[in-house]
Amino acid sequence: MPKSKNKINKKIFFQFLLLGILSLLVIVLTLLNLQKSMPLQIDAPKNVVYNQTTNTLQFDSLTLKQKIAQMVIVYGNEDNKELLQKMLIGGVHLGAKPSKEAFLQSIKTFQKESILPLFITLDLEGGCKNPFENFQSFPSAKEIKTAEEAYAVGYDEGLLLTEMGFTLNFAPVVDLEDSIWNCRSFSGTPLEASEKTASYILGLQSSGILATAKHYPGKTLSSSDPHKTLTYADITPDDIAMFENSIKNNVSAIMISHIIVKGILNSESKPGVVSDKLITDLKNQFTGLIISDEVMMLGLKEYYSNKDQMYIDLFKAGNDVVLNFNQDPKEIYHMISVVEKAVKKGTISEDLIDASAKKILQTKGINVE
Amino acid sequence: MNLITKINVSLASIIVILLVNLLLPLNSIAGKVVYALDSSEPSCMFNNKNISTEIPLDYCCSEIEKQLACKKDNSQFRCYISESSGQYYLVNRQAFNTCKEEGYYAKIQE
Repeated sequence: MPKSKNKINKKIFFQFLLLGILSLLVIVLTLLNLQKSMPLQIDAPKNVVYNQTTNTLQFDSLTLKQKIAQMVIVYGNEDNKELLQKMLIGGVHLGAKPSKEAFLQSIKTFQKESILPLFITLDLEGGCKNPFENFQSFPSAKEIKTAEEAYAVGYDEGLLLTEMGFTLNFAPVVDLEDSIWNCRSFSGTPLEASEKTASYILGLQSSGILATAKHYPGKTLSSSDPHKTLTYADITPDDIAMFENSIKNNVSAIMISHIIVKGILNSESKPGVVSDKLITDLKNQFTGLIISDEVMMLGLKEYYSNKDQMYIDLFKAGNDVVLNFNQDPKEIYHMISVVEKAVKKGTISEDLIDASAKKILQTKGINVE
Repeated sequence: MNLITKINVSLASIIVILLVNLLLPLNSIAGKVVYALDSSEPSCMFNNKNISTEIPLDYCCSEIEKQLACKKDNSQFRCYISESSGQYYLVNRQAFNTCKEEGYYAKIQE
């Protein structure tokens, strides 16, 4: 065969080989793209042994993934209702709505067909942050003058929340100072603010709503620089006294802030919410729910170069409830899967997950066997 | 250029597009380009009965998600619970886009 013909044949062979490889790559990438754009598929859970009449749940009937899902509160987007119910998510947080009826409808939508009751939460901080502004007004914490008034406001807010079907309010703000909004903290001396906080908690909880003292360990609303995301604070005995007094008055939950703290408490250069030292020390004196502040916030996200590591640290640190308001159910499911994998690998203790999931279920009023 | 070479070049182009879409959805590229070109500083102001305070972006994103809606107001967005309320957030385009980039969702009222 002449050399030039041989060369042409070789060239054609390589062109066809390349054609084959490229075609294969196109097929693989098309399939990967299709898989990526496919909606999340989760089967309806059939394993859960829950007796609605006796309100009793057989804890061991839950899978590890479902126990982790119970520890998560997401933003209540009705479009994701079905997937969230199938995940057995712990609760939904509602933002503002145009009317009372819209809230009632949304709560009904989420609770109906949920295998286990959901926490229905919101941030009702009186007149300062009032998702009910379209149909009900309240004074802001700053405007409340006496402990008696604080009790009455807490009680009235609680009555309305209970009537509407809410279970958990992310209030009161226990930070001594709010230099950002200027209306979220109780006014007066630390002692006066502490008395008002205690009265508000008593009022809110007397009407059937779980109160959350936030943002542990304080100074979250006074050390933030509008142009920085990672924030630092020196914690004083006065800051801590506010939370100690809330615990003494049986507050149901404490929300942990993202700020990095030193002083009387030390988060070891980490955001408080992922500091196992800070949370373990708190758990030694408080048996209620430990709730993370929202995890998409830049004050936490920017501390990590790897989001999966952030998810692992949040659960490993001992938060009972993790707030993730990302409205993509795939991201929520991804977080749960990452944590599940970390538990199976032994990075996170399964006992820690079990203890938190049980605490959540019992706080919801479910008998856990 | 013979036919097979033309097909190979086309396939290579398709692979590039598929790869880009896999790593970065094509429908968000335009938004990302606009966001990257906008060099203004993000700004978010909380207006409470005519008193205006600057809110750190971190809190701003989380708060505008919980508002009833955001309405375009000149070059910025006004996010509120009640349209007639004295309390609202004024968010410039850069801050609004940053929040979207971070995965926050705000309902835009046309």
